[in-house]
Amino acid sequence: MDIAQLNEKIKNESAFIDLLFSEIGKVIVGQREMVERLVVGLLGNGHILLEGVPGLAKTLAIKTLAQSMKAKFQRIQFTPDLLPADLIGTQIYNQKEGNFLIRKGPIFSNFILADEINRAPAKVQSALLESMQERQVTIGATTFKLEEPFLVLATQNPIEQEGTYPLPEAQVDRFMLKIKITYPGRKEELEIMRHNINDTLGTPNAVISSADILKGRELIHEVYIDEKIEKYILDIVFATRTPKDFGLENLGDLISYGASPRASINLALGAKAMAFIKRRGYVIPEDVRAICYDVMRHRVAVTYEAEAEEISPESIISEILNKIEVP
Amino acid sequence: MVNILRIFFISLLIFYAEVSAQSVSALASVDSSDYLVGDYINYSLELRTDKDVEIIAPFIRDSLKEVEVIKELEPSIVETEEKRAIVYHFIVSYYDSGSVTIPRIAVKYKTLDGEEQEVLSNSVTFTVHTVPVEQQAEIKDVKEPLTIPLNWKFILLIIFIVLVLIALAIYLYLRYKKKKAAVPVKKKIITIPPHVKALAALDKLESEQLWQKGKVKEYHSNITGIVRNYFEERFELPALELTTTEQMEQLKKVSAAEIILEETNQFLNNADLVKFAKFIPIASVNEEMMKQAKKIVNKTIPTKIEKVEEELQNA
Repeated sequence: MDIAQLNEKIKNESAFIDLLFSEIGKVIVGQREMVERLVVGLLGNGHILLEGVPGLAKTLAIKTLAQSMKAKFQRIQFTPDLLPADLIGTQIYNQKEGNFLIRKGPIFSNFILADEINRAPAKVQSALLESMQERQVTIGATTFKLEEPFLVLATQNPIEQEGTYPLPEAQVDRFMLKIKITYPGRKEELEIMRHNINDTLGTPNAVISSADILKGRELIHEVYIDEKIEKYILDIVFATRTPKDFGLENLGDLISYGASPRASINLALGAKAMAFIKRRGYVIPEDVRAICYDVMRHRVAVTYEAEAEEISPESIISEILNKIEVP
Repeated sequence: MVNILRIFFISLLIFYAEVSAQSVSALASVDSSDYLVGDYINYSLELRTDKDVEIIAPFIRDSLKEVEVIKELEPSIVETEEKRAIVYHFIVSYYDSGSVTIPRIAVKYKTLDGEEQEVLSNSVTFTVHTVPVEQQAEIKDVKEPLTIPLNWKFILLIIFIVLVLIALAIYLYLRYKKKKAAVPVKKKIITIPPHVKALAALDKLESEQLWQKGKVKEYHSNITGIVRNYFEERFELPALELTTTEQMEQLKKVSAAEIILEETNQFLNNADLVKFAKFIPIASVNEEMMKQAKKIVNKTIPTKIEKVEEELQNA
């Protein structure tokens, strides 16, 4: 297909994105970046880890996203006494009929909000992460496919680490994006305050269907990504592994291990989704840069030396982006 | 009684035969028979020989395993016309109480006819006592530490070293000051202004006729590369590491770039379409790109060009 035609097609087919943003905007004030990345995860068929202090509308954003679509939403509060069966479901003995019935757990929804995922023990986290990866759940001897779209949005609180079970690196890697939410600006907070005290927050309508999202996912595969952009993505990812090769000798002692191939895949996929959101049929370096921090921050592990110097993965990514030539 | 006397006489004969075999005798002795633990014990081994007998230096130290050898003194030699006496002196000590026996020491020598023989000294026994504890005496406090007397030689050495270091520091400082005071040599470095470089590169690119040869993408990459390089040098922006949007944001902050914002935005975005979206422009667009690039450069030539950069060079 000709690029002009593709561009036109994407422009037309991605019209629902604006509708979605407008519905979410009725409830969520500001946090545009977070909402954009939620849609990237939704279109990129990936899961999202949200990190932010309490009260930054993490839950509300996800709930609104689900309400803006004709989709099922479940919120699961992760606690230390949660069991895998509470999540995926279990078999119950039916005394009347003398057989076992399957009771499906809350995971059988389109949107799962795993609130404070790091408060549940490893076996529950594993059960969730396995469902995320396999997109299927086995209860007893029966395997159930999870309904598409299936998006897990896990939240974790960067403070109050006592009594938590931090997600292992291998499991964090399964999240396509790790979004860090910051406080709203002064103007936005004033708006939030006024909306809340006057009870003028809108109610989102279901403006798009699951089919729209599935179609969007198919279209994303058609978004053109040039070889130069692919090389740019690889340069960024490889710079986290062998910074010396990119003239970043100072990072050698700060990175304990670099980003995995999942980073390259998700960076390319995320960039395509960003291009789609921007209603473009091709990826430009801006798309890669926009999604880079969210794809990479949980995949670049810093050393103890870096931690002691209070050097975060974000500052390492910034240094890499400032060094690697944009095509 | 007669028998006892006979045995004593025979033993004396055997002992004499061993200690003073032929013309060599070896007699070991200590300066006392009773010592306190840790006392210095003077142990000596005296060899009396005929002058023509060659004594093979004995390894006495190896034989003194029972005691701790503190010091080995120089052996003293006394010679007469026919005899020679060699005395080996050792200061030894013992750190336990009890009876101690230093065994007999073998001394080898050569006779006149070259035959190697051996004579054994006597063993030496003495008793080492512990310090007697006075149970009834009053308990005394620990003694005060002793004050080491001032070692003037050492203090003088330290003063000398410090003076040498001060003199060295003064010398180096004066040398540095002298070097600094020397008239700097001005080196003129002629730098090519960024716009001259950029225009030359654009001319070269034009002459290469890349888009005419079908290398449209390469042409657009190179032309934007030249302009971005120009921005780097002219406005000191890290343009090569910035995206089009970021470059535009940075250029907006530069007053000298105000006049080229619109053209640059159009120029970079058009190039992005070719570079990243497989867009194949018509010939006139390619020509227009070159014109735009030159226009961007020409419009931002600085009015006052610093041609010469002075650099201080160490003499």
